[in-house]
Amino acid sequence: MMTPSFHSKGDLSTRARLVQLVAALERAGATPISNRDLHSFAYLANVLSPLWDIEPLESSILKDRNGPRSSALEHEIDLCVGVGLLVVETLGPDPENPTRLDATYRVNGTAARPVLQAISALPDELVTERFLNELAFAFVEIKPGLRDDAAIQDASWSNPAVANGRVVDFGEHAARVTVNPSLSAAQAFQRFAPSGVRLDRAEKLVMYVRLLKRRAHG
Amino acid sequence: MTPNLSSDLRRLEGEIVSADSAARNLNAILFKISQRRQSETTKKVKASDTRARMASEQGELDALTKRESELTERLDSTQSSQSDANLRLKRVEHQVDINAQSYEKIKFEVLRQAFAGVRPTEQYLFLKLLSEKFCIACDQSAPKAAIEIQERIDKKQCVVCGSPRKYDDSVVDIADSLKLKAEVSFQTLEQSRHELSVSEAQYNAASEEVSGLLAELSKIRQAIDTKQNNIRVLRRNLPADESIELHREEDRIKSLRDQVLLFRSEREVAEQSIAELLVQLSQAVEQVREKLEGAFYQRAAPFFAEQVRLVYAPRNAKIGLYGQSFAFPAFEIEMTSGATFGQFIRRTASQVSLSQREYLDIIFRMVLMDVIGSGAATLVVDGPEGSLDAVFAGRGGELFAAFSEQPQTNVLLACNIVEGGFIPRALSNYKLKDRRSRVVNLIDEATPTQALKELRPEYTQKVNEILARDQ
Repeated sequence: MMTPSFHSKGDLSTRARLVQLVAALERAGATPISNRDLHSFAYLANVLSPLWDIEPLESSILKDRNGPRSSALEHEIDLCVGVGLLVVETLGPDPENPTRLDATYRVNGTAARPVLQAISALPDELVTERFLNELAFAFVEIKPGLRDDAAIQDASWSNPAVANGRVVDFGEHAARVTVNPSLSAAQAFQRFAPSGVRLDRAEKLVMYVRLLKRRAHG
Repeated sequence: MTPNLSSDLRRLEGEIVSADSAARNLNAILFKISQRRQSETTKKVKASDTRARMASEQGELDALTKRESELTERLDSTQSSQSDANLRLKRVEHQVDINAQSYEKIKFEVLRQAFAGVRPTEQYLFLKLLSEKFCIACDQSAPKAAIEIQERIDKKQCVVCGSPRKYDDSVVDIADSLKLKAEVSFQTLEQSRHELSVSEAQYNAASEEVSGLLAELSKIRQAIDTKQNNIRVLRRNLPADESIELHREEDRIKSLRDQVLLFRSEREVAEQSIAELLVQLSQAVEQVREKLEGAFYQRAAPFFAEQVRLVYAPRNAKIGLYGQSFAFPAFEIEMTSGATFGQFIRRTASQVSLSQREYLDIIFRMVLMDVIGSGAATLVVDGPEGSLDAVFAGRGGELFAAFSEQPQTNVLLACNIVEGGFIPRALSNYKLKDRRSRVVNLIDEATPTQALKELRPEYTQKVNEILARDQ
């Protein structure tokens, strides 16, 4: 996938997924959501989507000590605000980083409803919607100030084999990457289930996010 | 009809049927043998032609196989370049993001009064328009609109409708002081955007090259399959005796293949064991990786003019020519340079100078001793002064002096009698009067060379001068 330059035309699939992401967060009661937390949630959605056999929007991201942040997603956030799908609830200095602004967002229900209905009409997107809902409800259990910390605790992100400033690759160069540590960690919960109990993908997803929550909360 | 006649009739009928059936069967066999003989005769007639065509096909197959091998090697190297370009691109994108955020924040401070009463969503929209001259509503560049909005702000008008507004005077002072900051921040942002265009172009070029190579490889492989099939068909058209010989050869090949498979399975067992060992080794390295990276940065910073950092980057490689690829724990060097806009770029051994390579190696060894050693270490270096110029000679000396300062750490340097700061700075931990005791002077100890025999007084004088110099 070609990476968009800073003023390129938007990517419709990213935009659609973004609206789904924020809608899922809204259903879970997590909106208005801060820019930082939205990026963290989007990252977890990407890295864990193979658990539900869903294609991630991005399969690699630069590892930075401040946490996951996607330029492509940021561009789509701007465009969604511009066309009225997302509303900026607050805009002001970032309390955690004085050199940047932070915004919080929520879905503009009136504008987004027909878009979400059109997306839900596609059969594979129903699975995506269920996946994002499960993820959002688990994500919202993490304390608001610690959600980006939870993303940093993710197995792929915190993999010591990937240094800061290098790329966390969970599938972009698939021929050379055989392991998605986050996916492996989520699947590993099956080993600890009681005999005869088969965990489904939703349970594994929730258990994994709760593990991240425990680590973030300390 | 008499009974005898009837019995004779039946007997004869049976004989006829039996003879007829035997004759027909034999005739069928004879027909097949004749056909085969005819076919073999035809094959023998065409054998030389068939052999010639086989040789031609084999020649083309060999050429294609060679090309496949070359392309595979080129693809490996190109994919590695693509990966580097991808990393550079992601870093530059990240930097553009940081710079854009920084500029937006400053702009927001400057425009705070202008935005009073405007809802956050509209503020967001106007801020993007003013800071990036880009309209996020229609996803288009909008420099004229940005100028118009800025004019309204400058004229103290409402940014939305242009009506006159009243601003607090004290805010104008704050905006003035921030305007300069905004300008500097914008320049930084523009520079990083330029870098982004360059990085994108490089990544796209590398990706196109990879795609081209993959397409070409696919065609070559299809052609190889076709050639192999043609050869098989031609082989079947050879006369039986040649076919028998070829079959015997194929049996021999099969037997050799079985042996190869046996060796491969032994190799796989060994690979499994080594994979387990490498996992343990990787885990051990990962536990200390941050310490190694930090210690390396501390040691390298005073020596190099560029910024240098050590980055943990496991490397995939095969043991032997074929077989499984393993991830070996490894470190890479990243350095900045004037040509990379201050970005850290991965450097291979061929991309740094001889002295840089030498000293990167020395510093890495020092760091390994620092972090993994139990506190007692000895470093022996032969000719450390050889690759250093007059400016870096002193830095080289200081590097070894700093390392040897640690308790229970010894440094042995075998170096020539050289001018410059290397020797004085290397001995800087000792007072001038004590430095001679830290030197094993081979002029006195070793069998003299012809140069030493003739020039001993000059050498001795130089040694005295160097040891008497503070730096």
